[in-house]
Amino acid sequence: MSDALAPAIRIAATRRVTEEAPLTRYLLIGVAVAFLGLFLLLPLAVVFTEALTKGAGAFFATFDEPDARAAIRLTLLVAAIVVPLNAVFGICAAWAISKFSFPGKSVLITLIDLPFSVSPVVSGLVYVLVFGSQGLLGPTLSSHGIQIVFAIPGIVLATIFVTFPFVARELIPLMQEQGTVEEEAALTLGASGFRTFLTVTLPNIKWGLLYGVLLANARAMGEFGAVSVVSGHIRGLTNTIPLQVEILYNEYNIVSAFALASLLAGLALVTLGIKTLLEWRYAGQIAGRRRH
Amino acid sequence: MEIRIEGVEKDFGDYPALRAVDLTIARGELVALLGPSGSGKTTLLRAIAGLSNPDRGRILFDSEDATTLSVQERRVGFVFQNYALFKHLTVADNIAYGLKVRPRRTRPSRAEIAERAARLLEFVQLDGLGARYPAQLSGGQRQRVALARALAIEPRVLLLDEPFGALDARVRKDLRRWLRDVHRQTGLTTVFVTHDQDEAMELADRVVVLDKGRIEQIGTPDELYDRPASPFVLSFVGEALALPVQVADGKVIFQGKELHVSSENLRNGPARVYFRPADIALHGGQIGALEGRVEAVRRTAAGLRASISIPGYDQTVEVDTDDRVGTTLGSSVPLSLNNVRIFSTAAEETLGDGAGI
Repeated sequence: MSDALAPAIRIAATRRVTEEAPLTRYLLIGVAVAFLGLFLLLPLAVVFTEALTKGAGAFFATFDEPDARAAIRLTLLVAAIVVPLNAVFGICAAWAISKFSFPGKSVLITLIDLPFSVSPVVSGLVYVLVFGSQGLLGPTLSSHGIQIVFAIPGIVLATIFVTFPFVARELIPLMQEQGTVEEEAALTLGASGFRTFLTVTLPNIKWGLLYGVLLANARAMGEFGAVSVVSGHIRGLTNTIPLQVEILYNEYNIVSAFALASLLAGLALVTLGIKTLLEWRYAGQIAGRRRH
Repeated sequence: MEIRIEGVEKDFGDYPALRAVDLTIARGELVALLGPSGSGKTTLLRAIAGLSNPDRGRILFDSEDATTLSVQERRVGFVFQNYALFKHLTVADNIAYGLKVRPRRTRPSRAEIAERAARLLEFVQLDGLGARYPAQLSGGQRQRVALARALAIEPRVLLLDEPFGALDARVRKDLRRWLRDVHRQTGLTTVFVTHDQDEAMELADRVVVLDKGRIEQIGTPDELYDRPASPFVLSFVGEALALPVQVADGKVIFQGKELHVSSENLRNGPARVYFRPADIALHGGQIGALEGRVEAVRRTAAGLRASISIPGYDQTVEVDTDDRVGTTLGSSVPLSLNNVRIFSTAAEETLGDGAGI
């Protein structure tokens, strides 16, 4: 080979056609990193530094407050109710959509996505209009001594609504891709429908399910808008962590507000960590990476 | 076990997937369902298994009406097209699955299950691979695991959907022979679906040819080759050429000249004369009305192969010959036909008994 050709070949080998020139490349990376730092990392750091401005003592004192404890308990309770329910609903919906064909299927898919496109405040208001004391079902319910709005049931309902799509949306593409052939095989081998679900379907979707549950949980614990409308902000009773943070902040109780907020931020970091781990380890068995 | 299918029909929306299918498969028989895609062969197999229910008609296992039985109750061994192995279970657990899911009173002991799985692994020549996962096996190995898993439940009948479809040619050949052996050793009534006529002809005792949801013909490979019941069967099981002719008063006319073909039982009108490429020859026998033009001549290992065009027929035919002189380019040559079959084209299903020239 002639020497004159060699450099040209070397360049062709190191730089692909679609790759930008180094300057453009560094500029793009720089802009992206600066943006992330300014709008994501900096606020996150502020949450923790503000929480710790008056030392660790003040930070931990926040969690001795009865109202703060009540808020944490309520948040955990709501998540403990909502996440398992949504896991079951999500599996049912994904199963129905991916394994059967029926009229109105595309309508159902659109409906599942509805909470993504509706403002949480609106979905909260809807519950007030239906279950509130002036609402559609409110008088009937209250005559039976059931209170939904401005009480824990309302918070649970609103949170279910807001977090509904996470599990279903994660499982639908996964189950569609897997089809029904393994289930059919289990049936021909004599397994009952439920047995087939436990031994074949569930193992095949477990990582996708975990991924969906994780996202649903993060949203359930962090939801503000919808919960704010239906909760009634009764301290120690119907305040979740995000609502308590707002109250503390409005009262200029900055350290406590940020200390509580740091719990949510910590939750977000843990979620992010597990999510990354799942994506890295079980990439093939999770469908929704493209979306979230 | 004998399988009897009586008047089974199935529609997918407006599309009739199976139309009035009647078929009896004898105990211990090895039967192929052969047809192009969309012919209903897989639908029929799934209906036998209970994976889909026919809209009309009955399926009997021996004298028992199986139509009302669930998939589980039918106890069929089903081997799926892409094996459908359980990805998250080892090979041994895959094979043992059907035993483990049995209700407690009929379930063998743990030790017995393990032993039976090991025996089956040996039977399908995969001993020592029990701890592997399906993803760690080759296509042929997966196929054999799928078969072992189906056999583990001691099925009453073995059903295979395109058993060799996803394998490369050499593995297919081996597995074909092997499946024949498995059938001999188990003595199970076995039905398999294929679109490959070679596979059907080589393996099966009888072949059921399906087209557009209808059974075109049921017969031994010999019967299908020698006495195809319809133009479809004739062209599906092996290559066939068709000359458009007119039948008039017992005469078969091609391009205005009479072909000396017996045409009893044929109604007047348009028809086609079908023959296999091997049944056309130069000069052979008496000179009929059929004449062709030599378009090209190529040398082959055995002799010469001439491409010959026939006026009035839009394809050229390839004829093997050793006559160098008679096949000069562009010359006209007389052709003879053997073993022709004539089918009327007016009513698609009318059958003529054409003999040779």
